[in-house]
Amino acid sequence: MTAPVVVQNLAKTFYDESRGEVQAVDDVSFECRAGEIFGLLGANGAGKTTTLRILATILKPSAGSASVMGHDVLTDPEAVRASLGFSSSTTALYPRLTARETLDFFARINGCPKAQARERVARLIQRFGIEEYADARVDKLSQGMKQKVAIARTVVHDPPVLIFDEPTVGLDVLNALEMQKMIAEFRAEGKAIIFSTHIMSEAEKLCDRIAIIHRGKIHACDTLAGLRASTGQHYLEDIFVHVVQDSAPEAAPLAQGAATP
Amino acid sequence: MKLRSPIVFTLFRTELRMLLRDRRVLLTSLVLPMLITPLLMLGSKATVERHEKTLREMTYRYAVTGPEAASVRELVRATRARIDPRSKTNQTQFRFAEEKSDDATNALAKGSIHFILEGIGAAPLPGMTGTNATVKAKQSGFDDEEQEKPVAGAWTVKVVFRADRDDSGSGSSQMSDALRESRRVQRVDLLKSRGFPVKPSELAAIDNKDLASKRQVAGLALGRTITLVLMLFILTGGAVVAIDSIAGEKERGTLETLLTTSASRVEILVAKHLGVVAIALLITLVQSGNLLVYVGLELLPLPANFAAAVTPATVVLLFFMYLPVAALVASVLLLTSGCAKSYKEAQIYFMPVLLVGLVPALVPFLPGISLRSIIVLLPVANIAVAVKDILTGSFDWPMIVLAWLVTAGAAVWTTRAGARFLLSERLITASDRDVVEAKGGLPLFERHVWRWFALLWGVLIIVSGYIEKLDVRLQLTVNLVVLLFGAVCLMLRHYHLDPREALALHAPKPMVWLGVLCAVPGGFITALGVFQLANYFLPTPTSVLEGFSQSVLPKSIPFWQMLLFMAVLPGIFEELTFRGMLLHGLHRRLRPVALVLVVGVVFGIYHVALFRFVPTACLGAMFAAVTLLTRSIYPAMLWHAASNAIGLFADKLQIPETGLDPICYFAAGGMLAAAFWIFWRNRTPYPGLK
Repeated sequence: MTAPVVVQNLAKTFYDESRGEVQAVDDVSFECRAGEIFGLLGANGAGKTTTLRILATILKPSAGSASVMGHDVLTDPEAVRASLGFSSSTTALYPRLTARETLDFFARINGCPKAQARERVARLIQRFGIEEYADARVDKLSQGMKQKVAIARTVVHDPPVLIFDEPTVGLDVLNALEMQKMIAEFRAEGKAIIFSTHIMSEAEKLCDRIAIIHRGKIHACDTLAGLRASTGQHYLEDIFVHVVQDSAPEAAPLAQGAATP
Repeated sequence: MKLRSPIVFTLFRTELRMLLRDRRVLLTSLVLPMLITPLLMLGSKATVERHEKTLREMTYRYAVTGPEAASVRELVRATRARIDPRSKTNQTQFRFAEEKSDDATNALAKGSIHFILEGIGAAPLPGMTGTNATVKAKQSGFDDEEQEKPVAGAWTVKVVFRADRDDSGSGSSQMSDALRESRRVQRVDLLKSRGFPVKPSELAAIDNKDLASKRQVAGLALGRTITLVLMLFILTGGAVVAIDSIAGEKERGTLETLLTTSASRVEILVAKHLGVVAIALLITLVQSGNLLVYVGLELLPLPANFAAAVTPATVVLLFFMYLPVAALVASVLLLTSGCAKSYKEAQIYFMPVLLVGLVPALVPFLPGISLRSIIVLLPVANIAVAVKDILTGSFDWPMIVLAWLVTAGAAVWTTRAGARFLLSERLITASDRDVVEAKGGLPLFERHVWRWFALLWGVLIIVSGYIEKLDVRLQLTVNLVVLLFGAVCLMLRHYHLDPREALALHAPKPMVWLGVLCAVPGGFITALGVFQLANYFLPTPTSVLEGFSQSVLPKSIPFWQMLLFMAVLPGIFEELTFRGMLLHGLHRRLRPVALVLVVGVVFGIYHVALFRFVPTACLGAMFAAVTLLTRSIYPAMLWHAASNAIGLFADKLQIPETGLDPICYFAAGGMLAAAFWIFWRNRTPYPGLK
């Protein structure tokens, strides 16, 4: 059976005024299975966001292919988008809508009929514990509340594939933990989840498999146990440094990683 | 593409909901025009009225100086005697008081007097005599045409005032008028006393008769300005929404989220477009209502017979006419918003869009402008002229419909361009340039080809306007060699294009020349037939045709030069421009048939005059077809030059080009078909065709 997300030899080249061609994603391949959290671990500018944006059909690949629930990102982008929920690194909510209106809006434009949308929105409001502020405008909410609304918005149309791009950025410890708990619950529901982060502890705790991405390339992809065995390191931080430094002769300090435009 | 109406409606409704919750929109679009502007105008009106009343009712002080001071005082006394007994109100009384002053100039500078009446002695002029008193009003240089020439032998009253003070200007002006009227009365009395047989004022009666109805006069005044005012409302109202709609979303990061939903790009753009149009129309409605309130409060004067010009049926028709304008403006504003990286940047872009957007609305002010000209193909400008025509009661329905279709077509095209723009990666990524822009070459030229040709067309129109009085040979040299060929060179250089490929400078197969020999007469007569057919539906006045013939084919130029400038040069340079650069820039974007038609239409539009559009577009399409079939520009060059030469010979030999026997057109069609059969059999495919 084909995995919900299949990425094969994906590449993306940007052109930069000063640097010319920049290979943001270079020959990336992976699969994400149902009921799995697949982690993309890399420094800022490693190519994580670009890969996820290609999967969300916002960017077009320069080479290679990617499919979501069997739909190709190039030839059937609308079916791809209907099958996934995408949460970017910012909450990216409409400030002048209430939480309830936000959820209803995203349910409707993702194709949910009116009655079904209303029912799902009510259920999510209860599930995420946002009843108190469901009818408050989003710009009046705290960062943690906004993040909850953003996550609820991502799953409101019940997509089989979820993409989280650094969802805990800017959250305090308690909110980050709650976020991780929610994502783990989605896995239990059988969703295929791609989780991008640069926070090692988060990846260690949540991800079933981890791909270490650096300068647009995936240098290692395995379970945490597999990575430990192959590198001889215990902590993910050490594994990451080991993989990145060993991976290429031209390896450079992480801070100089390929920029994501 | 299929539009899912529930999704479009949800997007549209949410856009409106968010916009109406935006304080910026409410403040700038509703509160400001509905409350603050009327208050400001009322305050300003009250201040102005109070000031005017003060100036009207005050008593002005003046000093009398100069060698003819006594004569001045006598004239003033006579004026007072003439005015005061007749004045019924306080305001029309003689309100001037003389102040004795040793240094009048200083007193005027200090403000203790309002003006000086200086009596200047007679200055004899050679050969002129007379005794009339002359008021020499003005000393400051204002209104030179009002300044009277001194009459030889007559003394002069010079009214000295200060234009930088309202009271001085107003008082001196009132005194000048009063003195002038006294002088006129004195002159009439003088003529009568010398035995002039009739009343001088009855010497010659001049009467005017206006055949236009009051409705038409009012319609002209209104028709010239209404599009400008409405465009201003639509642009400013739409901009508030459009800027927030894409640039604002981009800044907040919500655009990326929106683009990852299952709503298609077209659905998103259509909803945003509808939002902009709805708000722009709402704001236009509010502003128009506001204008009527201003009129009711007498803050703005209404054109006379306004009600007669604007009937309810006219209002409905005008609303229908302005719909494609609102749609086009919305598309342009959304595209502009999409190009900006932030809300602030979009606001910066808005000012040039506003200025450029208002230019076509100014077209009705051009004297003698008519819808039966190339203006009918200019979006917005054509609606502006059509509205003027409608309001003056001149309903040229075919042209009104054509104008509406052209602007509606432009709106659809820009909306599609906006939907394509939503696919652009630059919308989300921070990169300023994409692959195409970084690499340049043909792909970038393909992207820019329309803007090059739009700019070139604009430059040609402007330059042609400036050089139309010059010798036709010089005009053609400037247009063909300097502008067209200059643009070709610039495009080749800017995009590093290979001239051989871009201009199709390849030798065709020898048999192709035989095809050209058949095509020249066949194409010429076919184009004539097409012209006759077009003329049947859109008749061109004979005067227009004769005027064009006289300006383009002057008899003073030797025939060989006519051939050079009107056949050879167009054959070379127009072909390089249209069948070279334009065709090359579009050949991978359009399918061959569409490509041939589009190149033909652009060629027709470049010939400016509406009556030339159809035949030149027809010939242009045929030249494009032969270039595509032969991968060579040379057959089109020869065909074009020979076709123009036939026209010149026909004119020289006075062979009529109209009223040909139908069999001629059938024969021409046959020759053309034979020519294209030869081209097809000897074709060399143009590389990279879609």
